Amino acid sequence: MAAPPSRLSGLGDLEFSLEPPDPQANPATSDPYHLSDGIVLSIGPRASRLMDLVADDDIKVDFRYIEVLERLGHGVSLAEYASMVPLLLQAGVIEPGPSRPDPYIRDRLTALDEHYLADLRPRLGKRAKEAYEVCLDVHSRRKRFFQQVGQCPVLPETALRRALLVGDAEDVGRKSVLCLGDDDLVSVALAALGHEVSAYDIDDYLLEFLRRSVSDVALPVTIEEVDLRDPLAKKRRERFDVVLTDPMSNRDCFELFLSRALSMLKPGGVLFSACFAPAAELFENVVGELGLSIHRWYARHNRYYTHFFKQHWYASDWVELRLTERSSESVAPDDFSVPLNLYREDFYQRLPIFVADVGDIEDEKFTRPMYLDLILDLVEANTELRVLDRVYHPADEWSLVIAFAEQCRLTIHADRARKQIVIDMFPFVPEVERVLRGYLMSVFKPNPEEVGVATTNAVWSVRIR
Amino acid sequence: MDTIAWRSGIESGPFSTLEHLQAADRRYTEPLLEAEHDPRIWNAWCSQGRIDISDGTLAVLPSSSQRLLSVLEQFVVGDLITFGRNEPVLEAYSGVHRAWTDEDISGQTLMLSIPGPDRWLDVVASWRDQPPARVIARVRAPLDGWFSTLAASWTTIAYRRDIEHYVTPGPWVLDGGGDVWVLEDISLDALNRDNLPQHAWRDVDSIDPQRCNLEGVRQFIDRIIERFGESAVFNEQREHRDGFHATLRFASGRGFQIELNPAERHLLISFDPYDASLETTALSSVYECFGLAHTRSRPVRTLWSPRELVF
Repeated sequence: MAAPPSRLSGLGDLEFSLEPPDPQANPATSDPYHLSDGIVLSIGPRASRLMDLVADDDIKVDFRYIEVLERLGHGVSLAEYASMVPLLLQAGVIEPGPSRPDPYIRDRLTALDEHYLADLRPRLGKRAKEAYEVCLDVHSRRKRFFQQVGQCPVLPETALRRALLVGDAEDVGRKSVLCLGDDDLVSVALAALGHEVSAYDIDDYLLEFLRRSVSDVALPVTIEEVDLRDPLAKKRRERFDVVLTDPMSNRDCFELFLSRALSMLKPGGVLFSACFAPAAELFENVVGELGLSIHRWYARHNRYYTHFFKQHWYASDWVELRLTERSSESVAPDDFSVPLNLYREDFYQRLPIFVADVGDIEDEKFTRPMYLDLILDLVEANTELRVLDRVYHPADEWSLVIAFAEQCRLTIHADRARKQIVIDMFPFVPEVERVLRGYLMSVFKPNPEEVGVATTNAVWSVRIR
Repeated sequence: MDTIAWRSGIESGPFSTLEHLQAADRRYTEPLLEAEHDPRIWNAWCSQGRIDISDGTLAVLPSSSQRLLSVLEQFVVGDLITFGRNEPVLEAYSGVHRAWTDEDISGQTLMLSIPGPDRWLDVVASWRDQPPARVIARVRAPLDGWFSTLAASWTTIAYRRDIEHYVTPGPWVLDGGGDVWVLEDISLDALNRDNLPQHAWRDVDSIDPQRCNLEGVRQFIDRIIERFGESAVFNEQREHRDGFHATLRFASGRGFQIELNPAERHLLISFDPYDASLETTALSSVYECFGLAHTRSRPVRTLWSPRELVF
């Protein structure tokens, strides 16, 4: 089914007139607007984008418009920016009325959750089911994502699972629980299970979003702006029975978040923390240094979604920690902390891989080592690639050529039975890929039926048929 | 249980753990064990109207035959002793659905599939309720990408992600679970080996720094050659600026490249062309040659759906 026309097409690059805010305007007397269903704002490290999820389209957003669009994410009056309203309304990017759960986002999240909830749902009691519904409701209201501070929320299903590990207040007693950073909106599920919940975060939008959302769904959550790098206010120390946190998986973040959590826990308190699997050793080292004990380790417990509302490949473990007599912060509560690496995972980004898959090769002779060698000659002659050595293996049905270059290793595997050539390059060198692709097409597939390029942070792949 | 208690599993011996496993296994699988084993669909997938035996990661089962258990027959635990260190992993998964057969403890096949019991029974129950025309497909990376490229060849009734979990003996968990799909109106022509992904990658993190050298690479390659049961015709290992490279090819053309980066304690395995049984052999060898308690492996999810990712 073809995607509907994009509502962003009428906005160009959002270069419409942005008048300075009108100081005479009175927001209290004018109607609110909110971003339409399926429209979200993503603020990234290099660029920010307004996205129409329904049409699978997006446009770049100049930083000058971000504040206005963030406010629209909350569903507020645009009195000071009245001149923008007609254009945005006409395009269908905004709608009159206060913010509400976005049914499009809700459907997407429900579909993602469905698979993981299958085993859990039959065992959920009434309150847990309600906790899930309210958690899904609040996730569906969220219209802005701030990648610069490492925001990548967990699925509502995961938020519920985290809350259920703390327990239903009717079963385990009402506990004072802190969500240390609540991009994942776990506070909502915890409050729905009857706990006394606080959420600390550093992101203005998220704090305002949480305040509005918990007010709309009538749940008591104490929401406060707290920068963990600052000394910890005395009133926050030894205050909570349970602390939950999902720091970036690097030493700086583990030390800071776990130390602060430790300071805020009452004696005998329980701490839950996420940990990206490749960082498990580092996590365990830091935990040991802080004198915490690992009570349980839930492998692959946490699942996340992207701002496209697709499931993120990233998943993390969930670890239950306990205080011991040896527990001691590495960042003392009275000290400032200046972490160098607050928003980047240590093990997230590896050097990218390249693969090219050329299929249905018409002339088999081109898959013989001599021709494969020729391709390498051409690439070497037309790029900065400096090949140090080549190794060959000719076989009846397949051949292999490996080029050991200064910049990378290139492996060409030609399968004559399949009429296919696969080229694997590590690490990926963009210039080599560009030239290589050109030669592959001109030699092996001058009239391709399909050229597919798919890229992620990890893989750059080209498929030619 | 704290960390020290986990580790003490080694001292206390494997048998209490094994008993625990077996008890859990009996609890959840005994009703299923009565199902008759059908070798025709043992880990099989349909190809052009007939049944081919596949090798580990994909099975398409006629639902009317109710032989899901037969798939599990091939998941055999090797080196049971090391399970003594595995309690945290097992606790995380809360149940074990398949035991082992003593005669198969050979170390040749080292994967054990461990879904949570509720998920497992849920899947089995849904499978039993399917009309005969439907099939259940069990699939994990890299073959999951295959499903979207062939979306036009069947109707997807339901799918469940991460139903299946895999661990190897020792304290190691394989990240990246298997999915289960319920499909209808399958075009058997589409289920063709030629449509399978031809390459796949595995990241292995936190490997043993003491083994991050050419000797470690050689031992790793030798172990795979010894186990895979096919003659190796190409075996090249090199040291380079960033670490170590090795390429291995067997007579059939199946093989892989590895890139070992000692500074990052990271191993990248590129299966090219992809072969699930070789992946199994390579992964178990990775853990034996390079594994420490924190070693983790995860698939790089495939992109062979260039138009749109599945998830």
